[in-house]
Amino acid sequence: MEQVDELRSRDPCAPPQPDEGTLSAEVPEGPDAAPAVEGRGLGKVYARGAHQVTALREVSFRIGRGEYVTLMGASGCGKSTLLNLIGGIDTASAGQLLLGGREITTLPEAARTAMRRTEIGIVFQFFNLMPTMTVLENVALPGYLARTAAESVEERALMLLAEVGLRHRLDHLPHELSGGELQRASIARALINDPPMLLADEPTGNLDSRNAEHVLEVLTDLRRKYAKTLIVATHSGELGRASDRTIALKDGLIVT
Amino acid sequence: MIRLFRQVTFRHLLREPLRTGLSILGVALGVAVFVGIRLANVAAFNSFSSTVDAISGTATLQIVSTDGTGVPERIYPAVRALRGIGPVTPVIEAVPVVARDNRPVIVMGIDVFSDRAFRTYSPTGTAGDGSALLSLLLEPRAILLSSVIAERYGLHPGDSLRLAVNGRRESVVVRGVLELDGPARAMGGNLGVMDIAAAQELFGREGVVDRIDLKIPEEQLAAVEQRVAALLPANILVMRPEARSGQTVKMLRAFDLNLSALAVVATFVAIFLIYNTVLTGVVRRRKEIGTLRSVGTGRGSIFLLFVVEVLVVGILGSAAGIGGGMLLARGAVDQVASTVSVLYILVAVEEIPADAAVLLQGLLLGVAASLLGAVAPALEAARSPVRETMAAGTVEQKFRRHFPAIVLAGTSVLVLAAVAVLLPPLGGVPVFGFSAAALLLLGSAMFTSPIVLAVARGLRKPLRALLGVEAALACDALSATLRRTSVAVGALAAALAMVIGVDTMIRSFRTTVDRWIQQSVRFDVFVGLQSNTVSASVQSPLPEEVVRYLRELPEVRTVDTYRSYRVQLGDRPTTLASVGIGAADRAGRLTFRSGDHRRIVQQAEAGEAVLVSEPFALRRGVAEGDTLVLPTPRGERMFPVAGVFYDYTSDGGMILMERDRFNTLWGDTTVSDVAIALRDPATLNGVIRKIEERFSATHDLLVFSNAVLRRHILKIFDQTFAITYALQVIAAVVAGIGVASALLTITIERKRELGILGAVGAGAGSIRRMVLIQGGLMGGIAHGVGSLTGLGLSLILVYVINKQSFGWTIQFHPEGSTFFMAGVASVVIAMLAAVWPAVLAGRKPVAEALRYE
Repeated sequence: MEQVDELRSRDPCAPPQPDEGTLSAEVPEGPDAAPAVEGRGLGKVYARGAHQVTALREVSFRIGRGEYVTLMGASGCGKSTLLNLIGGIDTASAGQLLLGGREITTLPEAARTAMRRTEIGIVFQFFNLMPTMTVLENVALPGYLARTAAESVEERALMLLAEVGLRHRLDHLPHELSGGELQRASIARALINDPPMLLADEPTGNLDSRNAEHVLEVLTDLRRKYAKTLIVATHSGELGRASDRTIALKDGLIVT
Repeated sequence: MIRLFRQVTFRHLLREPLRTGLSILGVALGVAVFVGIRLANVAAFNSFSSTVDAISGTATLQIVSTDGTGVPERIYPAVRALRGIGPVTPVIEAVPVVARDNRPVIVMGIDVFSDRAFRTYSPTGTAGDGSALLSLLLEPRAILLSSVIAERYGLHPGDSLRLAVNGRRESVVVRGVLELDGPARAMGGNLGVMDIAAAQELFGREGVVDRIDLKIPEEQLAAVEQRVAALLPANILVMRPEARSGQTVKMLRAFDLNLSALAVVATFVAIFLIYNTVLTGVVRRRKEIGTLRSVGTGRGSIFLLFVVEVLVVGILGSAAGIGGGMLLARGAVDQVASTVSVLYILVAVEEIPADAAVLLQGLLLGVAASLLGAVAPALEAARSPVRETMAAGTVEQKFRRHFPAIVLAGTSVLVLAAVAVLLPPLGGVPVFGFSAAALLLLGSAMFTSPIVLAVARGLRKPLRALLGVEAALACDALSATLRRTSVAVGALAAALAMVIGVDTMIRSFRTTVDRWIQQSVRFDVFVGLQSNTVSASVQSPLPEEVVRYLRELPEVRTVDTYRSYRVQLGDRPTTLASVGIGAADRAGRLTFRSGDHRRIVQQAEAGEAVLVSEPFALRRGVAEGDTLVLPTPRGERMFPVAGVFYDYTSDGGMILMERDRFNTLWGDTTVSDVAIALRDPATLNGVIRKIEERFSATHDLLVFSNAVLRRHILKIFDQTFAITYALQVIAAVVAGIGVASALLTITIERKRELGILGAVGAGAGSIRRMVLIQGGLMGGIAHGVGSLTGLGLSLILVYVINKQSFGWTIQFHPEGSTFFMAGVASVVIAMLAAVWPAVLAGRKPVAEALRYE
């Protein structure tokens, strides 16, 4: 707790110390290492009353570890659906999805929840912070849920908040923050449990250009620093240009 | 507009069957309790009235004694001799018990010739009643029994039936069976008919009759009443039969009112439930309201949309409640009938009447409760500006802005309650006491929201440290949905307040009675009649040989005797008892509310003055030093009231008179009960065995040791209040439904937040845990609010409502266990109510939740 208090008392504008990074930056190498994500004939059909809507049609893809990939396409092309399937938020109607070589399509909800807690960090378009919790608590929330000691979670949350430039906003509630600040808090939250992969669904879609640029910078810097696999669903060309690779979708199919 | 109701209102009701069902159930339970209790009471009272009607036959006037000794036989020929008087007949009316099972039977002794003008008997298997009735004259112990009794004991003409009569076992011979018609319907068909002379001999009424019936045409009634009255001595009255039953119904009013008021609390709890449902509807349908308003729907129409919806719920709930109440009445009626019999008058209920007035009251209560709950949120929906979407957050913000006004209103309501407790009863009814109780419940409910907010904020940190982040989220959920949660907490708190208030009142009363028994019941052995325990209205004397035997027992040190009569004083009957005042005082039985104890006892012991019980003094407005005019067989006599003593045997009140003075005036040396003090307490069991062995074959005695009598009295006490516990359970169930309904709607409204939690790794277990903690917190807060309100309610019950209704001084005696158990119950109810919402919340698919809105 002393450590947390010490961290809280630091100058909020001071940059983080070089030895503060406690997150993993190692990426498994070698020909045997399984890809971070692999989709095999992945499909998703939604029931809308008596009708069925096909969001994804047997798509197959591989994303390597540490890779930064953007899923691009117009609204309704299936990119958010694919992201939800990778994040275990939704389940596929057909095909297989492997995360680090492990099949997740058949995992029960509890196992997918545990996976979201430790192996994936998600950044949403609408930030999705808990409105009644402070910024610090929001960032620490996945850590609390993972039953990590509160002191260590908060220590890490403070460090991440410093990295995203929100040290001065620790005890603020979400409605007191700007859109850019909310999204930076959301990025810090996604990293709290040190997951190997980050998913971002239109992370700049709800921001003005200045804030969007800042958020993009924070996201890519942190990905690089901690060597995370980053998959971003977007229709922003800016994000696409910054990524290692782009997967384009149209009407539920991968077109490139 | 009707199309709008059909297309909007009814579709919403059908689209959300669970919440609609819970609301209907809440109203139904409240109405069921009310209707059940009222019907059971009405059934008991009707039983009495129909018994009076059945045995009165076509009599339009009755001559009765006011001093409990009966009407001297000589009055009968004197009345008959009056010119143009019409049919007159003497009647004996006794209530022995069947020796086999101690069930009471009304036995009428009739003059078979003159009685024909008043009552028609329908013996089975004979063309008319002539031969069966005449057979009564041929045999001194002949009796005609109703078919109910004959079937119950398998009796046929020629069989004999053993009755306990004035302590002795006596046999009567069945000479015929009566169809359940006319007088045979009395007391649920528990009637026997004998010849009047045989009945006088059997029941020890030689020289007197219990009443003389007259049949006077309506137009002559007033004039004849006056002529007959002029003929009668002061202790004999002529009155109309309906006036007699009217007096008794008046006597039962406090009993009925108190039980019905308790039942109304369950409906009060249902108001919270409806309020919550409508508010939730307003929040959830904000877009719909906005759309309707934008296309030109007026404020009045929006208001009506919600009101009609609630009206449907109210009517359906009331209808279901009326059905449930009729079933509930079947379960409650035995308990009510037994309590009414023990405390007031003998009743036997065979059927529950579908009393239209009670059913209508139930319907109105359910509909009114529903509308009351709906008015505020429906008005709010109607008043919202078109552009303003009534999001949950908006509702909460608006609500919090009103906090100061709500607290001020709550304080004002509590001040009004404090003023109401100081006001006297109206016409003997504690109207202001009941109002104070209602205001207290309402006022404390107004403080619920700030308390919920303060607790949720205050406990957030310690609970997070103790129970994890789920506890913090639960606290946040309480704060974020304050208006909904605080209403559910308020409902649960009101139910708990009732539980705590009534339980504390009962325990205080029980402790007071127990202490009073310990103080006043100091003899070693009590001997009375089994038949006298059937009802307070039946008081037969102990056989002389029993009293003589007891006095002669070598182990006996002193014998204290007690004789009681039911006398008519003013418009109500009361108990007049004679005792050796000095002996009773030395035994520690008399505690006076004021005055010089020694001087009071001296005055009463000299026979110059009487003592009256506290309920008598309070209900009749009699104080120390006042003068009572008592009807005696020697005419009216004036007695100063020397003192007012504490007594908990009857709320009808009691007058105590010195034994010798009573003997002189009433000419009656018999006794009803005997209290024996032994020379050596070690001989107790031997003496009891000796008495039982001596009389068990021939007499129907009740022989109790001091300890057993105390237990017996407390057992009757507990039975009397048993029904209130059922009422409390139902109120708590309604409140539990309120919590479940609130948590369900909160779960639905917070779908998105639940989705976020799921997305960041909160498993179903964590979500369930959060909702359960939320339920537990609601239960805990409700317990806090309910305990304080319950404490206030118990003070009002003890010092205002009970005092004004029954006249008893009860020592206030709150017990920690009541509060502790209510706390456990509150948390358990709230957590149980949270189980289903928790399961639902845990099942919410994350993707769907995030797509919400």
